[in-house]
Amino acid sequence: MLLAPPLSATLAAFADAGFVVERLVEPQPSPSALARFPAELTPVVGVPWFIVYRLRLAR
Amino acid sequence: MESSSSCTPGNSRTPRRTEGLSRRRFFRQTVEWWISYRGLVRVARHPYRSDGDGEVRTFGTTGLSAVGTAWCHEYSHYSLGPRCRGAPDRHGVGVANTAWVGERRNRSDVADLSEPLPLEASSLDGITCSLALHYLEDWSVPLASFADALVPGDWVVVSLDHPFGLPLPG
Repeated sequence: MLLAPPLSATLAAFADAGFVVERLVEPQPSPSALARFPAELTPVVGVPWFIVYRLRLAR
Repeated sequence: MESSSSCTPGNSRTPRRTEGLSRRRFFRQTVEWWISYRGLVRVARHPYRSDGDGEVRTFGTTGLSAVGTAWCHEYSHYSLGPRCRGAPDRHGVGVANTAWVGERRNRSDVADLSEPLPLEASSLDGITCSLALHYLEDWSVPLASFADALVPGDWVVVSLDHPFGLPLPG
């Protein structure tokens, strides 16, 4: 897989290992981070950046 | 890599960084990432406990720890020195206990995420894996290790680069 594998491949890998996705979040820069690093962080507001999955072992 | 101490995530084909700012620093500045991450962990069946005598398996060298929980994350590159250059193919594996467990804290070890992890079957309550899996071509090995170490109903929190993310400028 490349650095950011396709969503389908990611979910397939989870499913093949017996996990189901219970919840996910797509974090964005916090207001305090934006205030501190406006030049670096403002351009990426609204841009997908990280994704965090909560999985549960189903079997 | 811009310096010997820089461990910017990414592989040699797809360097990802902002101008003058390594992605690792960027990650630390996006506080919401950590807040979200902790949020997903805190709804675990066994949240942080202050009275635990169970073992904490920490895959990596920093970060949150919880009794009965395994952690593996890319901070572990720090423990591997020059290996962090380019695309790391090995990840540090630490075994550590939180401060309240006392003497056993800060034990550490090194393992390879591409090989079965040294975890006892059904021995953990939860696992976190932070920004680490995307360094591996084959996820089936670590995910199978995770599943073996848990029992049905247990949780894993995994963070990754967003699949719809754009290449960073610079």
